[in-house]
Amino acid sequence: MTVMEEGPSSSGGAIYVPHESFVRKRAEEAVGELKEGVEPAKKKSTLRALRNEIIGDRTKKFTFVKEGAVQAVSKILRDALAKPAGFDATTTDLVIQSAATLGSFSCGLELGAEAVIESGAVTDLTQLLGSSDTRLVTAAARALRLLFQSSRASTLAPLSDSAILLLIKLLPLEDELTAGVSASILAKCCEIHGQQDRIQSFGGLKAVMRLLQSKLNKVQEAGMECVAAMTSENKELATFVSMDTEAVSTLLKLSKTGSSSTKLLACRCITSISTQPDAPEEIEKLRMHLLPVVIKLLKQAYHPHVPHVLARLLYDKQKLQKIAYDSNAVSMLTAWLLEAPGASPPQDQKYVKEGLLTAIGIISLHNEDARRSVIELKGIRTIVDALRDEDERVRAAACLCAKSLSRSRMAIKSSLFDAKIDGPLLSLLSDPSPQVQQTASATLCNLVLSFNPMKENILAAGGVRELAMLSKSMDSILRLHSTWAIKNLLCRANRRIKERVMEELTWPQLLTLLNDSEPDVQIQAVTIVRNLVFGKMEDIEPVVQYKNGEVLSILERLLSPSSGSSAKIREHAIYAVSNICSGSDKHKDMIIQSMILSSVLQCLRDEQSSELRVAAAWVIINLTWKDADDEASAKARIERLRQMGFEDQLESMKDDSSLDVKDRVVEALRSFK
Amino acid sequence: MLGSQAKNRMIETMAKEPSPSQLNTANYGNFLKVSKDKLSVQYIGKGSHSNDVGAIQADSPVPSDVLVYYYEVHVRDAGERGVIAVGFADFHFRLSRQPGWEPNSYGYHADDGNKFHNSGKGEEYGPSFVQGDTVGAGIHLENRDIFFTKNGKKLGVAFSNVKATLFPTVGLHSQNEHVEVNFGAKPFQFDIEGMIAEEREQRQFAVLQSEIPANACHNIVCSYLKHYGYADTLKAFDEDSFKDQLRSNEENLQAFSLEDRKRVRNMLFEGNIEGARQLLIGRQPQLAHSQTETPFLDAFFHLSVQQFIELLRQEKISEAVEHARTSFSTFQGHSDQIDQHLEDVLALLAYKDPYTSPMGYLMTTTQREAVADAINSAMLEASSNVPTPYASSGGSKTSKSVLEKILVQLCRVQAEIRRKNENKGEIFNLEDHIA
Amino acid sequence: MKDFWSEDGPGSSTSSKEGFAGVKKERMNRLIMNFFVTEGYVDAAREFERESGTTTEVNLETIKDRMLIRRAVQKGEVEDAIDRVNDLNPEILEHDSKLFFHLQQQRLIELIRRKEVDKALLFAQEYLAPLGEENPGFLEELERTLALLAFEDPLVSPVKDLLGVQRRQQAASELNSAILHAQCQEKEPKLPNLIKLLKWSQNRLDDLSDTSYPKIENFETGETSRSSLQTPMVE
Repeated sequence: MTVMEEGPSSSGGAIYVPHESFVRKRAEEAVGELKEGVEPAKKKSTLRALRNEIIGDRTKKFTFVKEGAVQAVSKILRDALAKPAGFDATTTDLVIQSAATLGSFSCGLELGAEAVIESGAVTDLTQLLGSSDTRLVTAAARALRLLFQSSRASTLAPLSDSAILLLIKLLPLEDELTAGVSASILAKCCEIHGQQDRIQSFGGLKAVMRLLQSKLNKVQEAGMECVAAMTSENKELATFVSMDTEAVSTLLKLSKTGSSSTKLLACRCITSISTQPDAPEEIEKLRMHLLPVVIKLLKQAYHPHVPHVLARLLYDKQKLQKIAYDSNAVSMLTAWLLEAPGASPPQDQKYVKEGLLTAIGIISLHNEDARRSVIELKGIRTIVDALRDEDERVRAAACLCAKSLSRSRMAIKSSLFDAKIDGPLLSLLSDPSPQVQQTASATLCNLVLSFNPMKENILAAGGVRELAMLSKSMDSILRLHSTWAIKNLLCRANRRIKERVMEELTWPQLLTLLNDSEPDVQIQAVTIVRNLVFGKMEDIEPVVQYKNGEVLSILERLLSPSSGSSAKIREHAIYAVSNICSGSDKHKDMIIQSMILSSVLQCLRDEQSSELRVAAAWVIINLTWKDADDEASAKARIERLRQMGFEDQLESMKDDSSLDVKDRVVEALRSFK
Repeated sequence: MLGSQAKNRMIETMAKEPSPSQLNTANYGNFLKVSKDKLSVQYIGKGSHSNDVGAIQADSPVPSDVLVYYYEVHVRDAGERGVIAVGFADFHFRLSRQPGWEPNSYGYHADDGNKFHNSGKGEEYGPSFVQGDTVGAGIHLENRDIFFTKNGKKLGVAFSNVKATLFPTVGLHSQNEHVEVNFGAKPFQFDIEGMIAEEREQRQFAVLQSEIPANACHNIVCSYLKHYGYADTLKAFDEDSFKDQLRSNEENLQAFSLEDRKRVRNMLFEGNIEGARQLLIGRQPQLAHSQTETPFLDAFFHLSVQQFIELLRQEKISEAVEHARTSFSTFQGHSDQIDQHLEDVLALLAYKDPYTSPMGYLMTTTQREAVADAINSAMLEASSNVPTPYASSGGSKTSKSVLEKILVQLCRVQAEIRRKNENKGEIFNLEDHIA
Repeated sequence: MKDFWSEDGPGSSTSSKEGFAGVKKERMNRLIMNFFVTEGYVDAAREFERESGTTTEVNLETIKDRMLIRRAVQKGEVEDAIDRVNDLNPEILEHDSKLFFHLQQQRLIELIRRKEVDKALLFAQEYLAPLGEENPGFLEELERTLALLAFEDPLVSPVKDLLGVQRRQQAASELNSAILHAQCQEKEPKLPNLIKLLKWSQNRLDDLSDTSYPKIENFETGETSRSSLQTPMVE
């Protein structure tokens, strides 16, 4: 920051330029007059003058902070409070002016806010809140609010219970403006220190809600600010508000008729209460009524909270997501995203970006048109860049957005591939945030499903190594997503890809996954096997070869009635078996000689699952398939199956209730004839 | 402050005329079944011919005294073909036709999302709508255009220059079609309050762009205070605003100075009627003999009446009667107004407690203020060397202050604007802008 | 000669009939009182209450601070006004950088008015230049103000408006509005808005029709345009 180093450009040389030191010297003198030992009347006039100098003037604040004014003023406040007797007029004025001065130093200048926090004035100011002199209370509350709204507020220590209690006691004041100041501070206590439950334990929410009925707009706004902060992600408090019909109807009215800042605050409150899980129907319905208001706010002003409110409102509500898309929300959000840095103040940029990406992600989760809009508006590049953002929440939001977009094959083939999403996405697999890892691995599942060049890229970039690592995670969701992604990667993959994957995943790890404690992970592991053995004999060979058929014996175990495996696992396992049976005679004989066959028979007899019966019929079809050059071995297998009672079983299924089963049964029986 | 303003605004938008509240069950199209609450309707025919449409209208037309009228229709069941039409039509509309097919009818149709007016052929307009959708129809009465909404989103102006008195009208045309109409008893899906608030904001913004002379307000206030003889207020105002203009010089040339007018006003407020009379006659001796000539006929008449009232106030009944007998006859027969007023005043004698009588208003301080104004006005008129052309051209006997001229002009111009708009749109109410 | 209006006015509802013939005195009194109270003319409000019997809900004592602040600016004692505003609510000048600049600019103007050239220069450098650095618009205004120093007799210079009473009035009103805003009270009196509404309405009526009517052209005297009054009368 430059202070007084140069005059206004056009004033030329005509103006005498006071030296910086001149101003500094004066400041130094002034601070000297605030020190101990100076006569109170002198102190008082100097303090007032100081107050008038710095209010609204950052340059002056800077100069005085440098000269130690904050320490001096905070000392005046402390000394006054240390005196046991009540204040005389001069002391009262000194206290009020110190509070005003400390408040001003906290505002608009980081250095000032830091100095005030360091000086320990917060304790003295909160103590003043309990004064019987309303002038002192108002002065202290105003100063505290400025401090809590400053850019350094995050470094403040949480307020003590007694301070919170004093603030709550201000809420029913006749002087509603001071009550509003208190509500704003309490809102910050929630946002910065998560003290909503403490506040509520003193009955704070009820008292804050009363402010909504004030005739003074600023007081209503402060009340809403606090209600929004207290109910955000707090189910109990949100329910508390939603049960107060007067408060809800006031909020609804304010959301429709107030100024845009009033509207937004009302929307934040209503969003909090209407998006709670198991909110009553009439409260949940408010989301629908709120949506047009929020969309309009999106159109009108770049307010940092708007995208977040929109995202929360739409979460889990496909119908609302559709309406939001129809109302042009995606193009407004994307346009804002593309010009994000210019549109918001620096301290809000990350928050805004997070909101925009989340909202875009949620709207396009089930909506291909929305995804196409994002692509057409050239939003992909920015979204992919955001995957690398230094802010964890932005990365998570970008990842969510990428996940929605990756549901579109068109998006994968064109823009996501062109924007080289694989690099940043893969690095998110080792992100410090588990949330980001989870979403990133889910996104990867979609990316690798069908588009070969993308598979190649991800392989080349070491994606499987990352996935293999994640498959060892303690986090079962991460294990699930990573095995799922590997499964998708293997889907219709060529042999080279399969080999590369298994090099990274390794056979022992696959066996571990087949024995995973989570059934969902097990399913994915079985489908990995199923995809591995799909295709040619060369594809089957490595699987059955590994450790003399270790994989086969796991399948055998998974299929045995005593395993307690779910129908889904058994179905995929049977299909894996069926794929193996499509291999060479050797492969078929491995199955014929294994215990798997009796499980297959069990599956044919399973009345519950027609899918299982179909899968089992496929095994028989493959086993009894007669190749032109080696009919003999087929005949031997057929005989063996007949001995085991497969033919009779199939005969009994010719009138199966499932058409699919019937067709397969008829086809299988043909070989027995 | 803001909160209460917003509340007022909401009340303002409510029509004073009857507004549609339910479906008209006295007369509606064929094949329709209307629910008991008269808010939903179902098509029970086959809908095989183009004349098999079943249309139904609201029980009242769109009120003419609102800024925007709006209603919504929720499609419960789109039926076999989903050929529902939502819109407006006039009183003579044939109920076997879809709104939009006929003259003086306007519709937004579900199957193709097209808009229709006076034609069986639609024009491209919005998206189609189906089961579960809510569509709305609105008229902006001051711009005279019709718009529609779907699921809370405004689809833009569909028709402009809309005339005639219209009823909300819905047409159904295929089996099982079932719609629910909301005339505002339940909250709308579209943010109509927001739209109205926005319209007003835009208007207010345009109004604020009008430039007026920087000192206009000060001068209007000064001239008002001068006009009514509020001399002390004027002095305090001048001091507050640091304007040390000397007004007395110009005043001296006139029949009655500002100071005179202030003194008369004060005396009337104190009930000193005789003092006021003396001051008038003292300044203009000829008045002693010509009390029934303009501009002082009204003045002396009111003075005389007020004297009577003040005597009653002091409970000097016989003196009051005596005063009436000697003084009122001078004025009797000059105009019907005067005679009527005398009758009212004398009626006070009939009541034991005149304060609570039907004529009680005569005993209030507001009445004193009114008398003071009448006399002040006469003094002003006598003082002005050039009679103001505007005061007399309006046919009114009393001269008007600049403020009053401006306010009267405002009411007239606003009424004229509404008249030019075929008497549609909100009625201007001065009180809304003062309270 | 018939009156243009009485022929055409609808007079359908009682409220508009009143507007046509004249306006209730009590309403006009309320407008005047609202003007005094909002603009902070506390003595005038008090006198008016006494002389006209018009009451106001606002406690006149609470306007006193505002009046003293207004007076201080109007008398050219800007520092005093700043001191009082900061007593009333230190957040007002903290958050309104435009108002803050205008007050500091007014301080500079007063110094120049008192011909304290050296002080004026020092003040401009120390207090105004940094504000100008943060806002180019302020810088421009600052330059214009300093131009006062370049003229032998600023009162006949092209920037003489800065020395007018009008300028103090403006600064006083801006400050008054900011205080009202901080107290959640209406910032503007109703009167100017009504005058603006009349001007806007007349223009709108002009757009709607070619018929001429007696139009108020002078908003300070209420005089109408006579020529247009004549035209429709010829038959």
